[in-house]
Amino acid sequence: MHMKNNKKENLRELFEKFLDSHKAQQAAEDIKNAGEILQQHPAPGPSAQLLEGIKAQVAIKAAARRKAIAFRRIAYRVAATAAVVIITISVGVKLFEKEAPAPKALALDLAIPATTWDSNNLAEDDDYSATLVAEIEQIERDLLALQLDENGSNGLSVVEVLEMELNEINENFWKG
Amino acid sequence: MAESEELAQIIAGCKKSETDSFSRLIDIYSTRCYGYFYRLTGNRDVSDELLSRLFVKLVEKIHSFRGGSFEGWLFKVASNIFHDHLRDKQRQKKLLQARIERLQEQTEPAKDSVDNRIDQLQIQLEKLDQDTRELILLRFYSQLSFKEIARMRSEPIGTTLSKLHRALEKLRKLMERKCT
Repeated sequence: MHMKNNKKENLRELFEKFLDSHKAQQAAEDIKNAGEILQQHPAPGPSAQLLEGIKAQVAIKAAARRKAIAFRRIAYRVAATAAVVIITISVGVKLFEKEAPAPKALALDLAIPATTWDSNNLAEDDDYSATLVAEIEQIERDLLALQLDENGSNGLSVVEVLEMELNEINENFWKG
Repeated sequence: MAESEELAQIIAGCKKSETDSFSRLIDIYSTRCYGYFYRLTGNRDVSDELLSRLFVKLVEKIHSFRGGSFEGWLFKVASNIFHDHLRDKQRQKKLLQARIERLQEQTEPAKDSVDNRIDQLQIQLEKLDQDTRELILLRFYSQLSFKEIARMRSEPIGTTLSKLHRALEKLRKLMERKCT
């Protein structure tokens, strides 16, 4: 072991920044000489057994670190995949919410079959509709009869006939 | 392949948590880092533990290295580990106790062996204050330039130069006094 100067450091030049030339030269020499004392008194080195032990410890630690790194990578991938799924679901839900009114309108349309809407003869399609149609037709006929005064009232107006009927009902009621 | 390119490849491998790359990194830097810890603590057991902590910490920290001087970054981590260690009160007590025992041993006659010379330096280093000692060892073991050391310590380069000059001068005098 020797105190080699890897940096090719010029001590004299370095000291000259702080001291005059003579003192800088002296300081550089002092450091060089004192450094030699350390060279002449080498420290003991580590034993081979110690180094083997350290290498074994380091190998275990490095293996654990490799595993930790691999686990972290997997965790990041899973997290990234989960994030993508969550974002996709969020976007999907928002789109679904925006399009929500459309299915409702469609549902209302579907409550009455398209064939019913398209058909010219509702009576054949729906019993209820047939009843309504029959009643409407009856009302039409009554209205027409009233207009034509064809209800067999012997020349009296409908109002007069109704009035007579009401009077008769009233009398019968009081008579018991 | 250039040294820097090879190091860049090793670091890239470490960032991928490749065991072989860490193994190569340990081979390259373990001696220097161990010397740094040993000179700071003066205790082999503690140095063993700090070196282990350093390289295990690197497995977690290597991703935070964003280029520049790798040695600067590595020794910054090493320095933080040493300071964490010092914050551990119980360990610090043991460290101080060990230092006291070694200083007591200082009175024993010196033998001119390599081990003894190592100890002499350690004893003299321990007479320096912690910051000064750390600065000397950082310069020697990290092989960083003064500019990089100053940046690492968040102080002006003039301050770093001045501190290190004084510190090395003091260490030299202590060593000379011991030898005479």
